[in-house]
Amino acid sequence: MIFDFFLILIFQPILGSFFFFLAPLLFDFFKNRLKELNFKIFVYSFLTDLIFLKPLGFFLLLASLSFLLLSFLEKFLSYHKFYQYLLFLILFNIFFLSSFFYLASLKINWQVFIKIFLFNLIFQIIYLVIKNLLLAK
Amino acid sequence: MFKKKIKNFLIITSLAVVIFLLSSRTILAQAEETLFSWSLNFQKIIQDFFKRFRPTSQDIYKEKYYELLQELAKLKLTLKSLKETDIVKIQQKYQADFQEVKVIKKDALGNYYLENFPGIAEEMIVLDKNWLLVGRIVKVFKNYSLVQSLETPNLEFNVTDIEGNLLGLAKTISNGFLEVNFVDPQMKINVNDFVLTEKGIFPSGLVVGSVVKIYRNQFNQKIIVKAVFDPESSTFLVIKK
Repeated sequence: MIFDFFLILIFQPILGSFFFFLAPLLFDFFKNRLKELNFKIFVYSFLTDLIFLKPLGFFLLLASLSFLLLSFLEKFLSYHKFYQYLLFLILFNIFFLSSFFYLASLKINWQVFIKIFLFNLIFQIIYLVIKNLLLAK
Repeated sequence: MFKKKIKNFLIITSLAVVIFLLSSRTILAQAEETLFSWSLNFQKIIQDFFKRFRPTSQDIYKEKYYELLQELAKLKLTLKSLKETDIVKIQQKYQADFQEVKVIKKDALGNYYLENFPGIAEEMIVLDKNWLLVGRIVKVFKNYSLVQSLETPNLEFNVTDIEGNLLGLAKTISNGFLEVNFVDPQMKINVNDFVLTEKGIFPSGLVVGSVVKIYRNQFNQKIIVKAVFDPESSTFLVIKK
């Protein structure tokens, strides 16, 4: 958790193309830790609101809606294999980023969208893999 | 677990809607602006710290100056002839009427946040230290102002070539690139040609960038322009209207 705070407070201001708060939330989502997820989703999204200068609740709304979508997806697909995780992550990021772009600028610029989508997807995969490996020891 | 998760996120989403709607109310919005001001100051400290590890702006300028000189060589222009172009005339025109302003933050979409000064207003034009067009102020808040720059997608304005011939409507794409569609096929445009603003949302004659690619067909031309302002600059100039 300290590492996550460090990521958000120190690196979020200088790397605006990443949404650092999503990776720890996704980790808790896949591990079915709802209590931790609920606490973190409020704290991290409010911090991100302040860094991105968005109205309070902006990122909380986007993140909770995206997680709601993932929860519906659980009805049809489990996540035991890498490609299943990847599918969950891709859908989550597409929904989150398209709603972010639409609400932030009322238009989706696909070039910026693809760049930010790839950055976030790669970061989330690395974060989840490393954290899973560290916890496995 | 499936039902528990759905229920959980439904509750959080409804809470988020309430918080989001409440935050747009006047009193809360004012408190939020103070919080944003603190946040910007904190972010400035972090950014300044990390800037120490990056190449200094002087090094970047040297590099850019060298690149510009190369471009000028290609254009067979000497520095003397550059001084005689409209760029210098514009400097003289606005010399007494500008304010140097510190940049607080640049966001992912290419918007800049500037420190306020007395008399700052929306629609004011922002240039970099070399008098190259950055963008315009779109919103003035209590403690800071928001600038829509040439790196922000979907900003549209008319542009001309260096001789003042109208090229067409330029539209910013992203990452400092602009595209100008439906340019007259008879117009002679070369790579590295400078592109200037035409009167509209910006005053005429400000340097936007240089042509990096030209797509030609028998009916029209499409040109891609790269903005030449320094995106990492710590200060910008604001022209007071």
